[in-house]
Amino acid sequence: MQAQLRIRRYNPEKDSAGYWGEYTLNDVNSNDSVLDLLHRVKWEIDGTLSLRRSCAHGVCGSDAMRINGANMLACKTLVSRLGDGDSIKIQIEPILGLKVIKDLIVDMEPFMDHYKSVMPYFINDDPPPEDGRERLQSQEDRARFDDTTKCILCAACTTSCPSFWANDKYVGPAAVVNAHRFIFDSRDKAPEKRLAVVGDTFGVWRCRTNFNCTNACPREIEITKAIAEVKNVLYTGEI
Amino acid sequence: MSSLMLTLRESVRYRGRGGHYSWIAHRLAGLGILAFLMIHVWETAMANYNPPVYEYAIAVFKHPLFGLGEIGLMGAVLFHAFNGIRITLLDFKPEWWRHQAKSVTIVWGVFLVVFVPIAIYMLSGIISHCGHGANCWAFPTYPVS
Repeated sequence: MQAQLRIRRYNPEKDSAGYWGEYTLNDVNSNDSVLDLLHRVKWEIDGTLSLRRSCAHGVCGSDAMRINGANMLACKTLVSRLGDGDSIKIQIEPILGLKVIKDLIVDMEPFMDHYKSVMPYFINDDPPPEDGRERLQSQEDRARFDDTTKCILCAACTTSCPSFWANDKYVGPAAVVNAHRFIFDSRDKAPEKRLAVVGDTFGVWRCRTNFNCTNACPREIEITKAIAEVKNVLYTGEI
Repeated sequence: MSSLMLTLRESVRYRGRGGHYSWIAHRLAGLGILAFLMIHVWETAMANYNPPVYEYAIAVFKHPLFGLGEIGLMGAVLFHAFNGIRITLLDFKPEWWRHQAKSVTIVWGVFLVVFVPIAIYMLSGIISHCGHGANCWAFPTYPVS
């Protein structure tokens, strides 16, 4: 199979604006990932192509990008998912709403600032149990936030959200997911602090329930559901 | 990094699924209703402040173009209402998220079932208005005699 790649390029030291770089790869297999193709472009055609990647197996969340118009992880997206036949066209762009540093690399700091704003760590100043072991929790209580423990902070959700494109003060779906993980943890003692952040003007009320985040999540986290659950806590006052 | 232009451009370019396009349609419908309300408030205010302008506006609104606009307004109100109910239900019932794709299809289906007959009825009104011999495409002159 032949793959025609159209990649958004931008080098701040040379380019006044971004442009499309076009590359043709032969002998592409349908079970190659988009990251494999990007590696081939970088290693065989143009070494200046810049992208982030680390584990290449959908765990580190480094290579979220916009592939054929929608946010995905390059390492988890196989060519077969994008089409079939003897020739395939693939368009690759950086994720939206974050400043492009170079080519497919964006500045993740604003995203991480929103993540940190929801205090994504366990807060409980009570003394540990007398036996000195872990704070116990029922399976039902654990199940309430199981889904939102899976976030890998790739930013595919937040940068697929029109509310985030419109106003980057919005904490975004990823921050709400990570707030949800602790708000619904029966062992945590600071849900009200997190609810104050996600219940603010730039919190969950900016969500327009269009499910882009849920559809973009490479870990298949039920993000819009988690956001709605946080909204429910905010207006019922009950966790 | 956020901007109005980025949002407008990428809302169209982003390849979302049904919920994304329903969101765009919801926004456009909302803007259409807002435009109507602004015209409506202005024209109603003229009934008090400048009756000849009000009478002229009422005569202009009988033009077929405004008739087509009324059909569009009906479509905007219906879609905005049905899609609004869908969003509200999904917000209050997070566990229904699995039905998101189906809910989009249902809203468009219900919208078409309700809107198409109404649109045909309204369109027939425009056609019969234009079938009375007068040149219905001509705009009235001001002041209305």
